Amino acid sequence: MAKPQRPVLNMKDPFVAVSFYDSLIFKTGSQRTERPFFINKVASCGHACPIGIDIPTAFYMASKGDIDQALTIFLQENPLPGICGRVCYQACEMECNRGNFDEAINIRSFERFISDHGQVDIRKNVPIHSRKGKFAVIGSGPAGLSAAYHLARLGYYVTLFEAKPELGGMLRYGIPPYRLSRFILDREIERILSLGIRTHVETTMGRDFGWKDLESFDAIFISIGLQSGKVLFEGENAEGFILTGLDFLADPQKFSLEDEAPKTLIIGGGNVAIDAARTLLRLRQGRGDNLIVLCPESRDQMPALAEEVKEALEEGITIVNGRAPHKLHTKNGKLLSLDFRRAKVKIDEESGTVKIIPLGKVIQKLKADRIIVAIGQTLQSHNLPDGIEIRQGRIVADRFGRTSIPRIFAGGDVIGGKAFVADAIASGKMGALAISCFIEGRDIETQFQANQIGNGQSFSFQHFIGAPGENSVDLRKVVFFDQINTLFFSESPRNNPDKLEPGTRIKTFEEITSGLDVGRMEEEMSRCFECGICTDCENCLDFCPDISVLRDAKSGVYSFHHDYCKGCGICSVACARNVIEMVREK
Amino acid sequence: MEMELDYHERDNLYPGHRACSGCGEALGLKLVLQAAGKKAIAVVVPSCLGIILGPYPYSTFKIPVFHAAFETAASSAAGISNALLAKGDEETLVIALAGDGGTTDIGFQALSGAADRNENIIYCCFDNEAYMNTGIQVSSSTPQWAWTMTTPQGKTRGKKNMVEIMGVHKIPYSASASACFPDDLRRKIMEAKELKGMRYIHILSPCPPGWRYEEKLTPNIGRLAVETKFYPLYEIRNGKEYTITHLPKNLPVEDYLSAQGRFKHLTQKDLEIIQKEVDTNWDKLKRRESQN
Amino acid sequence: MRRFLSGNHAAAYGARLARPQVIAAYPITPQSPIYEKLSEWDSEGVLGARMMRVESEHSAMAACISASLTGVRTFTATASQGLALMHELLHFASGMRVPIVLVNVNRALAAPWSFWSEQTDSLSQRDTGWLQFYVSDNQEVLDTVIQAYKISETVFLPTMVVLEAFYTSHFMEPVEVPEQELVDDFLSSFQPTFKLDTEKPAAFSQTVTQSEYGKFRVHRQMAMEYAQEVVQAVDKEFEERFGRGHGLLECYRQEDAEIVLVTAGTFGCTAKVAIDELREKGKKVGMVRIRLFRPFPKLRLIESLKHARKIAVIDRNLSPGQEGIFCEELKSALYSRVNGIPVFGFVMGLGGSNVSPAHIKRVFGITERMQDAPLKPILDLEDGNGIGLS
Repeated sequence: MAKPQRPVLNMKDPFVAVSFYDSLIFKTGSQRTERPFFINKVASCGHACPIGIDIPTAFYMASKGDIDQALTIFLQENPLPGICGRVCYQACEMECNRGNFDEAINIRSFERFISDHGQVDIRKNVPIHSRKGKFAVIGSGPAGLSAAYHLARLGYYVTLFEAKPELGGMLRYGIPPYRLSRFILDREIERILSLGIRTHVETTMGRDFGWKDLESFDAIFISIGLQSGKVLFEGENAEGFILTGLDFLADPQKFSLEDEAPKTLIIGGGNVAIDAARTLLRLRQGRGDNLIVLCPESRDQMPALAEEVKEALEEGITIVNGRAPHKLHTKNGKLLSLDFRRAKVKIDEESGTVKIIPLGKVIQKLKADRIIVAIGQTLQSHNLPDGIEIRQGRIVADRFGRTSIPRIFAGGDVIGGKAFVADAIASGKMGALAISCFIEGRDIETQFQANQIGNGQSFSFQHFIGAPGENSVDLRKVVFFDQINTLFFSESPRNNPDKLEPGTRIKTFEEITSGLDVGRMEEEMSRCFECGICTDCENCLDFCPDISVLRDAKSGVYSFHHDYCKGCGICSVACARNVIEMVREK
Repeated sequence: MEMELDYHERDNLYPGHRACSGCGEALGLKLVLQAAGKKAIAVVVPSCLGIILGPYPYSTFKIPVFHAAFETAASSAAGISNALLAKGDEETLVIALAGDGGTTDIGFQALSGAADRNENIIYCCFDNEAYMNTGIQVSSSTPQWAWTMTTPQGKTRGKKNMVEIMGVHKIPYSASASACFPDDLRRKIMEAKELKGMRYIHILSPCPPGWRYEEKLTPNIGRLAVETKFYPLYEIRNGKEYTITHLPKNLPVEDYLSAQGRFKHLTQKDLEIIQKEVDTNWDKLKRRESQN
Repeated sequence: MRRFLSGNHAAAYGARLARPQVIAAYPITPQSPIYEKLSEWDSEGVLGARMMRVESEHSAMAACISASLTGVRTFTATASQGLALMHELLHFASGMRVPIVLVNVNRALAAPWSFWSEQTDSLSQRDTGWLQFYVSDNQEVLDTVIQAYKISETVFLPTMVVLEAFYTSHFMEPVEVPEQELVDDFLSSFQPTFKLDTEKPAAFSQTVTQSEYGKFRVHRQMAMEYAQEVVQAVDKEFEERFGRGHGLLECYRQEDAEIVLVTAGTFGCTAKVAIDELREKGKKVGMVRIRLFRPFPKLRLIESLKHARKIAVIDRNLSPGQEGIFCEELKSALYSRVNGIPVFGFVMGLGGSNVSPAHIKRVFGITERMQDAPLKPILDLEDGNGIGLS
């Protein structure tokens, strides 16, 4: 036995339990049954948006102070954010997950805000005129502008034809300035045109050029809209006392020159009717007497946007519901009165067709000097190419905008569908995809599905272009409310923009709604859950008990350390936005 | 042989520890050590923390740590603190880390003694509400009605309120925290670091096998406890100044209790009684805060 | 400097001179005067250590262990119930190889309650891995406390210095208190190779495997065995510097003794008086007093006893169901080398009852008379006729 020596601390054979090693040799990940992945997804709002805008990422950029980048994100899909930020019917807000928590985010105000304050040069990184392909777009409404924009972004040569003196279609000649500032409209259009799109205004198809003249173009996109107002009383619309809402709104000043507030009836319950009423009100310096809107629908059934109807009523416009026109009474070329009856409207759930059913036999009478008819729009069919299929007043096109003629595509109101600006823009985007596939010989079904958002109708153009992203985004996965961990959020009220007082605004064509100021916009941005995208909140880092969520010091990219991750799934629950998913180990 | 370089710059706990998957206590420990910093010495006593510390010779702590006898968390930490002061070191932080059993039961005497002497230590109690390391036996920190292996019909008496008890000792800082409110917990450790004397932080640490819930739900369980006012987050300074540090969402206690298997035997009547008690306690706490 | 001190105060001086940096203590009769003296110096600002006035002996030992691991010299004192309360931590301190010095004032353990001297409290801790010294007078108390630091800090094992309740602790004697500079020179500062240090982070006392544990225990045994040499070397150096040594054993007139009495503690002093009286009458009797009990100085004892014809061990302690502990340990040591010497085990003075020279002479008488040593201990000799004599 060795002679006992004075105890000396020899680390290879210490005499006491002192240790200097770390625990990194224990690879605690070896028994894991599931492992986490970062998967950015689509939010419910982005899924509902017909244009498929990546709304949460835009919110995220803006909340970090980068308004320009937020605007860039919108512009990746939508060339007209300033427009939508004012007139869109906010399908996004209706599906906003926050709406199930307290109140939906004011996304429309956000879109307006970043559009009004952001500065983006959309020509950056765009290969203008780099590809072989010349396309013609007929009609410069939202659908046409959108198609032209996306085609130009792909690098093609685009020429835009417009019958009216200025570009914009319904945006300029349908929506009144108190809803959409002309200044903003011009600015948005100018931005689109900066991509090298050529334009020909006051150029009407069939009059100034024929379809044969367009044969040098590789493909054509028809987005001429529905320029004819539906007629109510046959044969009498040539008279001076009756005109369509569309014609009125296209140039209200022209039609009101001899106006000394004669009694005007506006027939119809849609946006055109309401817009016509409110425009006329303003031309009359706010005098709402001698102005009545008559429509067969009940207040709730009115196809006009509820917000619009509300504003109209605030402005003192008289709307009479449940009344259908019956007969005109004229004398010596002048209008005397209109007979009308009580009616109710039945909307067929499936087809969407509207049936007006008169109720009772009582006939009422209203004295009138003028009637504006705004009961719908139809196609001006004499301007279309030979052989193109038309049905029920619309060009027949599949969901990608392909018509019966291979080289001809169509979109917007002219092919039917929802008649809102956002849907028109989406339609133009779809047309651009279809045309691109056509010229490049790719299958559009495949391309669409590869970039489809959820299982819906929209797709991501940015994805299609193949722009590199930082984190992988699975466009097929949509985050709905039950996937949001609301324990990480506190309730707060929605911020709404100010509106001009009815008394003030009826005398002017100034925009009624202002945008949110910076303070309230910041507050509203902070309310956004930012569903489905990583916002660097680092809940995953904070909550991982095994220190297995890593952040690269240089790039800031997050990853998992699979040697140690036990697959407990805490990160997937702590990620309030549902970005982390647990996947079974093979 | 030497310790590897920093795994994560701000982390003072290495991965590779033996905590159960989904452990709230390991989470809490990680957060406490992040805030404690590198100039700190820790005392750990038998509890789940002992397991997390790991087997010889591999340590999961980046800072020096002593695995002391069970009931000596406070007294061992006090010894270190006095030794450092004897050497003229007033900067190095001494933190005692113990479980609920080691604090409210067997370690209570040493804790009370250290508080009485206002020893210069931060004491963190990781409360998973039972003796979990030895297999889920009841402790005085187990809440009333909870199932454990030694109270299979549910515990008949209530939970010892350590934050109040430590407050009555009039120590500079006594606070409740939750492992699932990371910023709040870290802030409390940082606040405590600014003070001298005895500082006590009670950290609710959800335990999947002991509380009977699916391990990934730890963040929710830890937050529901607070948001239902079952476990309010507050601080007591010098025994008299009360500050509530998180305003809860006022969710019903049922949300919290029904999510855990250890309470699944509760009837509707039981829940009503509990809700009333929770509301009463909350009102009392608010009154105390307003009396500052 | 010569002072007139009680054993407790001699212990306090010994501790103060060693310059501990942390002292943790809890009062218990008969130790309280040590605690009080140290507190008095602390309040005057002359102690130099941080006094922890803890709330139990268990916390006192816990604090000493962790403070020692932080690299400072520590001291504590206790007795009886307090020592028993520290029991698990005594194992812990020895396992962590911390050089704590503890002064234990032997006191009988409850139940029933008693405050007077008995050695069972410290002997019950003989398996905890601490060095144990049993001292018999106040000078030895002070000297042993100082020596203990040097020994402990060399072998990395804690030391217990044991004195007796009231007979030593409260009894006043002249004591030579050495100068601080001489002690500083003798002891030098405590520089452990391992400590809790943020500059060199390490983990202390983690869970080990079976074989690792075995290794640590083997190391400790080696250290214990080495400690005996260290005790002698330190005692020799002490003698050179301070002019007095105490050795592993105290041998008194034993070289030619036929009957050797074996004692520990104050019995050593009492026995000397009896031996002198017996020697006057021509009896060949001597004494060996065991000073170092752990590590047990087997060889030395065998050396000093192998020439005796009979041995009588007098224990002021008893392990129930066995016998007096010093006797038991002695017998086991002798057995490995020496055969045939009858060893008589006497148990006297339990609970602190007085043992006089007359009692010792009775012990001698019985040992002289009886042929064979009984298997069981001989009890109750102070008051009665003695049990176990047949």
